[in-house]
Amino acid sequence: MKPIRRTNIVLIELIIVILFFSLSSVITLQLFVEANRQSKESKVTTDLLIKMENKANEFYEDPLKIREDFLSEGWIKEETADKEHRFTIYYDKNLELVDRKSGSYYIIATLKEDSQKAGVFWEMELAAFKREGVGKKDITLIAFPVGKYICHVQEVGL
Amino acid sequence: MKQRTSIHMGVGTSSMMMIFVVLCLTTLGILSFVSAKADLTLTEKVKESTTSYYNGEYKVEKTLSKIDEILLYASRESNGNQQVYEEIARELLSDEEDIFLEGSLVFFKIPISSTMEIQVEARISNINEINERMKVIRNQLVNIREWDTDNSLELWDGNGE
Repeated sequence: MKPIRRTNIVLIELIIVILFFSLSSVITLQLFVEANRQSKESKVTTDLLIKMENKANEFYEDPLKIREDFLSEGWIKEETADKEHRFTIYYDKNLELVDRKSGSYYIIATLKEDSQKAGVFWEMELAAFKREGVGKKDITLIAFPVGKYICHVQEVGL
Repeated sequence: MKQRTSIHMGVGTSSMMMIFVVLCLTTLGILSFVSAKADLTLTEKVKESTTSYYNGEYKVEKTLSKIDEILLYASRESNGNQQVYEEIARELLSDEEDIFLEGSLVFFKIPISSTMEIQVEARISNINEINERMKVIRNQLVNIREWDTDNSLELWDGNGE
């Protein structure tokens, strides 16, 4: 029987090592990719949440002025029913302001006015969405309502 | 004459190197994955608490509008009489669930999670105060979780040994 040469053993070992290394690299790479995806997702969610909170605080300050602010900040006004105003803003993957077509994320703000006898209840529904592509339904990331009640000044003599 | 040099790699060297590199890669991969996962979990928690806070504040404003409607009705029905105004307002407000009255103070709370609630206190103005029917004097986010005191450690009470 011919003895196995030392170089052959090294060669076989090297092949096994390369195979095992590529297998573990693929698994580790998937781990990195998933970590990167989760990191991006949490960054986008946090940034969108901050933007929405800022808008909510502006609304609490002055629900009447917010419409002007929307228009001056690049929000797009949508056509809606009476006593309802809808504004939308679009962002790309890095949350930079973009136009409607190239937006990956968008925030919708719907303003409603409910006039009562004693005052006016201003309402703003804020919702952030992620676009999922053609034919797929967009995913709602964050949604919450904001309300502000402003009472009418009491009539004299009552 | 040139001498040919060759590098001799012993059996097992490549295996050892591979084990080291794979261990490094796996450690880094797991660390970054755990860190990203923790970040995402934290973000989800922040999102949940922010959303429930704004939902709670929305309910607070709705309740305030309801109370104000009652006060307006009471002021119109009482024809400027403070005593009648108070009586009507008291009767109507006591019909409402989760609204408590104490003198001229109205109190209500909106739960936003199992451990937090928004407590609101408003003072009802007199009927001749024309500026506003009520004034919110407290709108506070309160932790309602019961304090669980840890008495396991024997602490020095300041007396003797």
